[in-house]
Amino acid sequence: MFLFILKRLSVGVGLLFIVVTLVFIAVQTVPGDPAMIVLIGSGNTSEITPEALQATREQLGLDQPILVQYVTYLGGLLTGNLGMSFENRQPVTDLIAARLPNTLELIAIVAVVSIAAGIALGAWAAQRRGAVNSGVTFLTSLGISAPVYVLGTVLVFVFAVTLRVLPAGGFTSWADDPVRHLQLLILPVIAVSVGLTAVIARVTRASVNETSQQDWVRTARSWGLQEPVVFRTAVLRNSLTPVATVAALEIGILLGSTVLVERVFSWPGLSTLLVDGVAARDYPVIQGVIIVTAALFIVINILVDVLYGVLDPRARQS
Amino acid sequence: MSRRNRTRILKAAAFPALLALALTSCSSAGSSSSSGATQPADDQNLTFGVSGEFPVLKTGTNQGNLGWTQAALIHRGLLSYDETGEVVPALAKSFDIVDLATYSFTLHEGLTFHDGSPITSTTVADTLNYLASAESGSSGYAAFQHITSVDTPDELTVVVHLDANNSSFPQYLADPTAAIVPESSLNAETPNTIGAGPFQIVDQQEGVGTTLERFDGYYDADNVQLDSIDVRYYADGTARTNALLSGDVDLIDYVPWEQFSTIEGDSNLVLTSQPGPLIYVQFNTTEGPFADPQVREAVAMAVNRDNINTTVLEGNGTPVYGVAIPGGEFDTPAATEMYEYDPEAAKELLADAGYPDGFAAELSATSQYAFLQDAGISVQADLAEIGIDVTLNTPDWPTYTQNAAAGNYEIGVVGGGGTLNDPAYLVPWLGGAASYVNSFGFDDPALNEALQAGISAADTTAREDAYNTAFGIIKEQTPIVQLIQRAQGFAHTAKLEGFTNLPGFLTFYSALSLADASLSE
Repeated sequence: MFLFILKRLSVGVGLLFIVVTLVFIAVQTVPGDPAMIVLIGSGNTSEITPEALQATREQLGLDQPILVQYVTYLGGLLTGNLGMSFENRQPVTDLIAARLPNTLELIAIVAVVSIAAGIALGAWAAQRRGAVNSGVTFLTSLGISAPVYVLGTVLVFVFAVTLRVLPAGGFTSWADDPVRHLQLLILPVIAVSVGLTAVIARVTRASVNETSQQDWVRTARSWGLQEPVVFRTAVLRNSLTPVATVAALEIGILLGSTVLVERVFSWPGLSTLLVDGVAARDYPVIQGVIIVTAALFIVINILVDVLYGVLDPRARQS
Repeated sequence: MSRRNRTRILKAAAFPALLALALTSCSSAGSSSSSGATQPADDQNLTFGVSGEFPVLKTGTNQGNLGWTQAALIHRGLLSYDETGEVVPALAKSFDIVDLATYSFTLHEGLTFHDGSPITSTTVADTLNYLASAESGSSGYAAFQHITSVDTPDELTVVVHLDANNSSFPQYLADPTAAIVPESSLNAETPNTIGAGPFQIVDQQEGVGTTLERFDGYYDADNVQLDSIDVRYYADGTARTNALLSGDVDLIDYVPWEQFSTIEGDSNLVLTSQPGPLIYVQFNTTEGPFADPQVREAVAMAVNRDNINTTVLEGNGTPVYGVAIPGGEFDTPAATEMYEYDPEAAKELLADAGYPDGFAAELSATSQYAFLQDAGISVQADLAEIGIDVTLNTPDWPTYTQNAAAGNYEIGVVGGGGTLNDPAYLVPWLGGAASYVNSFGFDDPALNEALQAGISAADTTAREDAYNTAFGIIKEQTPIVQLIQRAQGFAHTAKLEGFTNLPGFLTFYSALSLADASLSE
């Protein structure tokens, strides 16, 4: 197992280098002058002198040849330095360090809620069939098709604006006020979890249905085992491999795509930082967020590979 | 701004331009002060939901709405604006206009920055000299570049000499970006967070908010009633409005137009809006049909401003048929009634210009700001009516600005506001170095001369003559086509008193009035 993880990590580092290079090339080729955006922001109509533009380029290091910028950036990466934000003039590592825990916390809670609820719902639908199955199908269709910003807006309207039982959005750190922190988490967690729960429920149901037809399940029943035991040991466990795959992919995708829920609930996460970075052509922020997200994605996939081994011993041997 | 300081401005108001500004702005709307007698609340902690993260301030530079708001809270310059948009003394206890090229200021005694370091005439001179350097990228560079020297005869007296008359100079000094700052902030690297304004930053959380507390060393601290301001970042307009509706915050900026009616329908809330920034058309005047002033004038006459108002701004705009000079003495027909909506006349102009069957063109409008893209779509339909077959190009904002500054476009719809309520704001819009603001390649020496003559005119009559000449040239040349002023709204709980949405382009400086605001029971 150790060698397996080591091998996957080596591949991950190689992948990360490719990501760094591709992202660096990509941001350079996108039109838009970062120095100009630093000076004009969202709409400075004052006169921008050529001297100010040149001074800003020099300050940002944009006057250097591209290759020099790339080598300098790679050198920084080796020491854990992701550069300075063009807009904020703060180390990108600090900006990410401030946002990443918020994103990870949101996603972690969403993952726990969605996986637990999704597996339970999917298994229940597969077991009961009939009306339960139809009901779960209807609900999961609704959950998958409801855009997170629509659901989020409805939740805010009902629970914050109308009933006033929860805050409309914002952020308070756990250290400052744990109760307020949890209150602020409730609506975004629900908004994101609904879609993910629906996906996991559908995959679980399909997988359970397929597994239920396998020979070893029939064999287990022929041994006279109770149905709950058969379901738990022979069906559900063997149905979870595709669920783990889908859940890992979805959670990985969430790492960089929670921007809508972050906007609706003013939750200061990584996605907003990335979107704002793109809008401002803040190269170091764009590169930094993508690299960190890619690294996390790779780590999650390694963890899932390990989980495969736990769920199915054959995977360890292969 | 305290009544004491407003009295002091009477001395400066003897100067005709400022007096006119004061008189006209007295009639402007936007104040939300309640007139009823109310008890001040024990809790004077305001929560302010703003439309995005406060930028890291860079000394002197214009960083947009959020930069101005932050600067208005933590900084002050020699001068400032009161609730009517009148220029009033701030760190300067008083000032004299020796002549229009010489301004003398007397500082309050005992001024300090938030870090306790003293503010003397030398501090002021250092700041002004920095703002006058081309490398600083200062917002008021158009005026500050004309500073020839700053004398400091004693610790409290500052005398600024310009190389030419400039009647708008006090307004440039009142801009929140022209704040006086410590020497350590006079560079592009150091965050410009130490000021001498009414509030000081005590905490900033990335992506979350900024906490400010009243600064007891502020020159007018006795009149500041708010103990603290908790600024919270809500980038999404609906989220911001919901935060106000749910009682999470007391005040929000940038109220989305579609939310105006919701706010107005809540008796516990107050909406205050001002006609502020513009949506306008710019041209590449170096080649093609838009190099011809007649074609540009045809565009000015073809665009249905009312349609834009209805479809883009939910009826919350103010159509412009010339150049907007909000709230000032030059808000006159000569400036504001240059064109009328007349598609038939526009077709005739096109025919006279040699395009009886119209032509095809590409219109750029950034997709990053939905209202600009929607305005572009409206303009596209109007131009089709007169035979101009427009293809829409909708890049994001950085791409748009780069293309516009490089002349990689034919016709564009863009937005922006002036930095002062005075025709002087037009200078970078109608000439100067290529930028995303002006029409590429347009440069009319006669127009530049007329605008400069207006800025440096020694008396009101000469100013009127010069600016009227400029307006005549603008009508004739149509370098840009201003379409509409969009309503810029703040909304707040009715318990907030004394907050004012400043008139015209000054709307973005409205946080200045929080120095005079309070919360009631």
